[in-house]
Amino acid sequence: MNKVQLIPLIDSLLPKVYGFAFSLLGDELQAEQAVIDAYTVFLMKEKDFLVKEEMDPDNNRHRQGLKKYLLREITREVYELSLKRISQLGGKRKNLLEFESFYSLNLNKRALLYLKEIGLYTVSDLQEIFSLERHQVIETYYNARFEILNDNTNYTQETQQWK
Amino acid sequence: MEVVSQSTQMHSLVGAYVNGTIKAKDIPMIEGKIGADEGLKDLYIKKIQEQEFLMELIPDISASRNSLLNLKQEISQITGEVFPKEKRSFFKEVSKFLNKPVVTIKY
Repeated sequence: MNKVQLIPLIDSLLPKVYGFAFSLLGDELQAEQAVIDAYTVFLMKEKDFLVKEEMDPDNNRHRQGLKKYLLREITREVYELSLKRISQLGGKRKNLLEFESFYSLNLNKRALLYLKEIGLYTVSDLQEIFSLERHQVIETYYNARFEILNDNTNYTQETQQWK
Repeated sequence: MEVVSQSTQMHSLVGAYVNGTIKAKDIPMIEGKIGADEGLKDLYIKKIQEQEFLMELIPDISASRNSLLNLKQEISQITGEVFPKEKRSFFKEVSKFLNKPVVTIKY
């Protein structure tokens, strides 16, 4: 595969990866930087594999498989980098009031919930991204769901009491 | 006792069916049960509403045009720097032409 083949493939994945980075970091610039860094790390690691990989432009199945692989690996890198970055950022996150309950979850839960609900990843995809067993993915997902729904139910109940 | 645990199991399966954590082999069975049982149908509707509410709580923010443009430029630049430069072999280029006959003579 050469760079002329790789760039359009990556370009087509950027909106998805950016959305994921934003959901983790809650800031446009941070999200942009995370995507760029994640792609650089991925490329350095996988350069040899990508160069050797022959891409057949007429084989749609192969192209889709490659795209899925790229998306999964870059998503994983974005997650790993965000884990490191979030501690450096501390509380310096924009106030996204409408998503307050989402951002009150820890990073693992946010990542998993986002990828499952918005990214429409399957449980087995998530197992590979987070290097977890099936039951661990399901457990984290249900915990995240419970926390976010419970948090909002409490909020709704409180506001109803005020009224 | 068994009836209670069976009903709890059905409720969990309806939940798993709605949020997509169900195993593929259980899908036809649970669809049949939801279709046949009024209680499960109500639970299914409730779970769907809960799912819609959950979706509203998760940010689904797409990149602005500028962000996307910046990203594309950066990605292209990084790829250019990291990927090895392609060496165009003269002999390889010529051999492409030599693979096919230039002139065919029909007898």
